[in-house]
Amino acid sequence: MKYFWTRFLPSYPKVLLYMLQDTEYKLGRYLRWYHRVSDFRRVMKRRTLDMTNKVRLLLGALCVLAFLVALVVGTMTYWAIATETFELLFISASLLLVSPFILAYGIVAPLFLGWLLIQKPREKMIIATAQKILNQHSAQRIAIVGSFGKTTAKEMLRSVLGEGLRVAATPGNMNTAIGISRFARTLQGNEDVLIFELGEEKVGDVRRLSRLVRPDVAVMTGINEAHLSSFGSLENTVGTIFEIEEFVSPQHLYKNAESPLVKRHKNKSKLWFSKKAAGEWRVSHVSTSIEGTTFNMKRKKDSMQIQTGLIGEHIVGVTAAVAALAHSLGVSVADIERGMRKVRPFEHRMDPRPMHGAWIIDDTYNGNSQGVAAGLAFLKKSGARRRVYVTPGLVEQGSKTQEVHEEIGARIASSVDVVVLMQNSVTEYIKAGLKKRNFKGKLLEVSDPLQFYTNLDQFVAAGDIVLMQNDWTDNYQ
Amino acid sequence: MKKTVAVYFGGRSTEHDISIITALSSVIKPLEMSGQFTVVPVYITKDGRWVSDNLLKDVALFSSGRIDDVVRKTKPVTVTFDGGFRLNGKKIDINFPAMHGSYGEDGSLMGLFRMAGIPFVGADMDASVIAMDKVLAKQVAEANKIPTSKFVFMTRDAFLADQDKETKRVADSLRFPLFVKPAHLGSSIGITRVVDTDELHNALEVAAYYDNKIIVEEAVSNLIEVTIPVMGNKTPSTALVERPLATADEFFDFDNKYIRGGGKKSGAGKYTGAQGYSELPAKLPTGLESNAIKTALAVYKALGFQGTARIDLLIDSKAKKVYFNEVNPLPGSLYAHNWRAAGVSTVELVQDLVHLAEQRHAEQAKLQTTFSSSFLRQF
Amino acid sequence: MKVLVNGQLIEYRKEGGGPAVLLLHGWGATLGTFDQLAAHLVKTGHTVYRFDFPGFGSSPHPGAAWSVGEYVDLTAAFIEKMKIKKLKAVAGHSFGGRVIIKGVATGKLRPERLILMAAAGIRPKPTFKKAAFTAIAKTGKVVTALPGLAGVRQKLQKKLYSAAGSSDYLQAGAMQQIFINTIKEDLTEYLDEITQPTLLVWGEHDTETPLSDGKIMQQHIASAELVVVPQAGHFVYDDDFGASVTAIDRFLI
Repeated sequence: MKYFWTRFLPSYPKVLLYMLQDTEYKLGRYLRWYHRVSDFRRVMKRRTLDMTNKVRLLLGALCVLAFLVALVVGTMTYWAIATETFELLFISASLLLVSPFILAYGIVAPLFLGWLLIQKPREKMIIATAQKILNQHSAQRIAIVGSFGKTTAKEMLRSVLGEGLRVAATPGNMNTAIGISRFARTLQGNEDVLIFELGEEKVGDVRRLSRLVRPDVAVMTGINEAHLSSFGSLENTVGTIFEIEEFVSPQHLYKNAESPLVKRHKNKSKLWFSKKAAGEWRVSHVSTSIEGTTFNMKRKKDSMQIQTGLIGEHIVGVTAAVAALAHSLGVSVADIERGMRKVRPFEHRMDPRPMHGAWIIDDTYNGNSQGVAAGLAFLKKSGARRRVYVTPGLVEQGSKTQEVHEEIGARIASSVDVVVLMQNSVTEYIKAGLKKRNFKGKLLEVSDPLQFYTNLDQFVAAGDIVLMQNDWTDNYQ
Repeated sequence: MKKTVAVYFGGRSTEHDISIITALSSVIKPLEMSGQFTVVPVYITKDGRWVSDNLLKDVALFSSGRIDDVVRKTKPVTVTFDGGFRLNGKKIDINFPAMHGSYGEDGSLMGLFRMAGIPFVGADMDASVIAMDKVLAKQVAEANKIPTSKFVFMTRDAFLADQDKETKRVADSLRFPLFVKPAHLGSSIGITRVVDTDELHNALEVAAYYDNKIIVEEAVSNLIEVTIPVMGNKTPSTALVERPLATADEFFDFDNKYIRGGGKKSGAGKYTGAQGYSELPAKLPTGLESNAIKTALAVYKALGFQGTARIDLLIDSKAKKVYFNEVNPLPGSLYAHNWRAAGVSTVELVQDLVHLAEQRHAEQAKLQTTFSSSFLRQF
Repeated sequence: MKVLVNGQLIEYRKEGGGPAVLLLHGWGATLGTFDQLAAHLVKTGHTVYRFDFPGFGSSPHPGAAWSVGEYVDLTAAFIEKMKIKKLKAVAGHSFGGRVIIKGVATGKLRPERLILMAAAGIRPKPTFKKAAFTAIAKTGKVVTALPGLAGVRQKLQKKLYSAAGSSDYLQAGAMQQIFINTIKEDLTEYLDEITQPTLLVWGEHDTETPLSDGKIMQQHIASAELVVVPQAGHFVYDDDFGASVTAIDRFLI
């Protein structure tokens, strides 16, 4: 309540829109965030409001709304004083008091109406059209499912298959029904292979998307606690991702043996991949450094020398799976090897860049404990002058938050020389983990991440490797 | 508990503006980033006013010219010494001078801090005084058998009293080409390279315009100019040997040193930054690198340096001889780019410097400076 | 490079070899404005001298309210300091031209030839617009003399002068008094004293020193050739370097 007055600042409407934009206009998350905030001056920390047309329109609406509220309050107050009706004065004062909430909720109404009356019917139509296009398309369809690593698998497949075949893949994070449908409308019709990334947030999602794309082959990258709150339970997550089994025959479903939740599930097939094997292919001579990763694959008389720009041992399994899958689709060994060499690190995913003789590995899109473990494993063996680890911790860990972060702290303690923690609610848990393992290196806590990122050059020296994992957006505290 | 560090910059010096950049980008930022210090900025105006305000940490304040308003509206700083060093009433633990040139790098500020009995970063007063007088620095080096290029010097008064005689004295005792320099100023201001007596006379006039003492040196042939940052108290260590590169001119001019740079890294081993263009590390003929490092450390010790300094050397690449040229008690931007390439981040650099300051202060505190005597009783 | 001239510290450049040519820059500019021209003249076999006038570039303010005469004296002293025996030509732009006109007419500068590029020196006839501005300015001065209005005064001044088109004045800063001293002086009668061959280079669309100034100079100088560069403005040697330098080359043969 101490900061209630900050809701009356002129920047307040902008802050509301910032919150809407940052939650991608998901009203539930927006409102939950809204109720968590006390000081509205401290919301916009990580970036500034991106002035899109939508934002301009909504800002206009908010200003009109604010003006109307002010007009009503003003008129009532004037009337109350003029006629000495103090009840009215009381009403106008209360109105003024609740006016920030009128704005916060008022802005939701046009968004909801727009979604109900315009967006929803239009999306239905787009999906129906896409279904028709996809039903008629003759290409092989590969679906990628899992809680993490989908984009990496997709891009690798696109690069390798693209060496000999005509390939199209869902762009960016377009992994919802509407995203996939929009993608379907861009198809030429003559593609040999279509690659679909299937997103999942709630039970039935994979089934629904599979009906749309009708996959022939699938890759299951792994399962973790992502979107736990919308799934309700981990069983639901696993069940949803395994819905893919209803559409793809067991001998065409590649699954990550290194993901315990996948491995533990009752599996129909044995088409596994890991850093040791992918299906019948044996993997050996694995080597990974800041420059990339190399390994050999062998199956009877066939062999492949894989070399990619991706870094970290955790990508060996999925890389091998992609190579094996491509081979099964008839792509030659030479083409697979060439395609793999073209694979560069993806932006913000174990993405190294040089800085004054040091390396900064940008892994800020990584947001799960498997990724943390993989990144730390790489850093530990990197042989850098100083191994520096920068993280705010992980979001969406639900009831396991404390346990997960103490584990991360313990893992950090045995892997790095310097740890930089972006201060937030989980910092203490990570520190507890560090302490438990008797961390001897340097610990730095940073309260202003932006300031730290922009002055990173002051923090590094030649020979350092700095791994920056995960990045909290403002809508988590 | 965070320690409070006061950072001093600006000052009554020709290098006023450079000092601002040193302080804001290479001292205050990394000190704050280390998470161990509270930083109090102290800006000294060109006319010697002291101002302290947290606003002063923003470089935009200076580049936009709004600084004049802030200086006008802020109360001048009050400093008290009793019960510790206090600035506007706030207790300061360590002073960090980020000043170049006169009234800052030349020992003046160090003298003040010694009187106040507070630890301060960088060279002590005596080494600063020697370093800021190019003649004195060379004389001390010579006395310690460290080779320097042949030189003569004169006071402004002597020059103005009989310009032709003094010019002739120089021309007779040294071999052209020569460098004419004001003896005290930092950077390259007022430095001229001359090839004949006419030019020499003109250059002496210019040097006398800037300073009351002038030094004239023989140019080293087959010249490779290098500079080496050094850090430490009793056991100093060096960063990398760096070779500043001039562009068009044979000579390193002020514009070149401070204005033309500012680009980013361009190609392997070439560094362009606040200090201009340079080769880092310098590619030297065999044997010369270790010789250069040895000379730099010898100079550092001979002149009594502690904290940090940057030693400039002249190398005759054919004769394979290394000459001491001059020393910079507080190199621009702390030469952080060089330390970073040597594996010391800027954050580590400033932390180490603060630590060295505390170490020296503790050592000095152990020395006995007073004793009781019966001297006064006789009066 | 720096040199002391009459106790005044002067930033200068000396480049190339051959007959000497001196270049004098305009108001608000520095010797750097002639980088391209100097390089060209060096290539065609000249020793090119140029310097920053006191108060411009790296030459410090003279410390007193100089007028054109002092700049002439300084230029003459610079020539002497550089031991230039014979000056093949002196070229000046705008304010630099002003210094040349006065210097040559009074016999203090003795070049063999003159190149005047958009030279200043002709005082514009008072127009109605200027008169109106002067009146407004004077009134403004009185009104804003009231206490508490000093800040307003600066802002108004800025608006007024930019409306009147005198941007040089505003940027002059510490040089304001010198600026006023120089523009007050009309050099028309000095032009009649100039006997050396003179090249006048003018931009067709010059708004600072209009082409009409060039024509007046052509009438008054005994032996003057006027080259008008089409499409070019006040910085004629920048706007069309090719055309300007062609005229200069022909003139210097």
